[in-house]
Amino acid sequence: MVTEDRALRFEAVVRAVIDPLRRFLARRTDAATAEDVLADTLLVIWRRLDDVPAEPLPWSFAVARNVLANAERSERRRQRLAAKLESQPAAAADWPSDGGDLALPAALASLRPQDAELLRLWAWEQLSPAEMAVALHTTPNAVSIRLHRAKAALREALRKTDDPAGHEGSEGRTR
Amino acid sequence: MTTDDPFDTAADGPHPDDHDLLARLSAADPAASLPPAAPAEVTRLAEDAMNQPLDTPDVTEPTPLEPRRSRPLLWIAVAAAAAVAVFGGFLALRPTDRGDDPVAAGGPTVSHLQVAPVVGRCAPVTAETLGQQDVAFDGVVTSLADGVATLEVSHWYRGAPTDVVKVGAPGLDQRQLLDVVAFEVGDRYLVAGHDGAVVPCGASGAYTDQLAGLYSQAFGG
Repeated sequence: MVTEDRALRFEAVVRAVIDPLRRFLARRTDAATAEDVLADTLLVIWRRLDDVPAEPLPWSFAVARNVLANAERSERRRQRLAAKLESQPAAAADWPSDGGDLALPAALASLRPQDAELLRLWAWEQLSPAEMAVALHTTPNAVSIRLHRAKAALREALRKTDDPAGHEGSEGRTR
Repeated sequence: MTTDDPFDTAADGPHPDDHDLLARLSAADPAASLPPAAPAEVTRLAEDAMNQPLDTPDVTEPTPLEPRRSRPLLWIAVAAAAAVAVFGGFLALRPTDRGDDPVAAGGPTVSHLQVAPVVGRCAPVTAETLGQQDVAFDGVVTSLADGVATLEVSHWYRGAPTDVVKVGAPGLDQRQLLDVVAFEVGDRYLVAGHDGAVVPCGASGAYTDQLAGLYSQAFGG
């Protein structure tokens, strides 16, 4: 059933997407969830190998987003059912805490989730509108319009949350 | 990952502050210091996936669904999206919170799907046609009253996940709802939606392994 050709194709896709996927997940969830979601995402890619497009990464991000959303939803339901605790937001990724830009996480968190996600895909995954459209199951035109609004919303949120003492630019960290 | 200019994304050209915004976001990237995966780890992850059974049928050979025998056959010139578009102004309204915050805020999150009347002929449901829909989930009907079926979702294949989906509309003739999907309280269903309305004609229906296989093919588990 599993041919060597299929295995080789899969391994090539995995090599192409694995580090971007690991970064994608590290930006959006805790380490343990990221590990589980990465394994499940690779399993979906393996099972749907014939559907993987020539440029596999945006498509893989779409799969990972879906797997992550389901994982976080299950976790929230577990929390609700377990103890009727106050619902906790999904576990956030670890933000830099070494004196970095404290206003940015707050500003990003204040945006509508879909706007914040567009900005992440733009700045962190560095996707083009066409690639974002694949990742989000929408059209490049819709992405461009929404991204434009999301940037404006982030600017406005930063204006409100910025520490007047500073943090106006990057701290010089680059990838 | 792309060679495209990341600034060239705004509908009306880059904003002069885009570079600053990008620099600020990049500086706060939580994954900036994540080292690449070790080659041995990549191999292990790939092998773990390949050791799982390939339990979904070949997507190139979609299996048409058997027509429902317990109900009059309702055929539609599929492209359910087209049917929804035709009747969009009649019944199909956008869900009130589709795409909105799925993060829990103390109670279950809810989204809505409308139903459009079924007319015309149905085409066989395939993974390809399913894959064109923008909402798909697996859930159990917890109540059925006043033209609304309430489903508790166990799995989202596509769409902004919510805990509950309400299908139909208050005051809707319940027969019209049940003509689209024969909901019964306590039963499990696979439901696809497009543009805020349920996709009929067997694309949405009672859970079967066969339909679940098509959903897995179409949406990737």
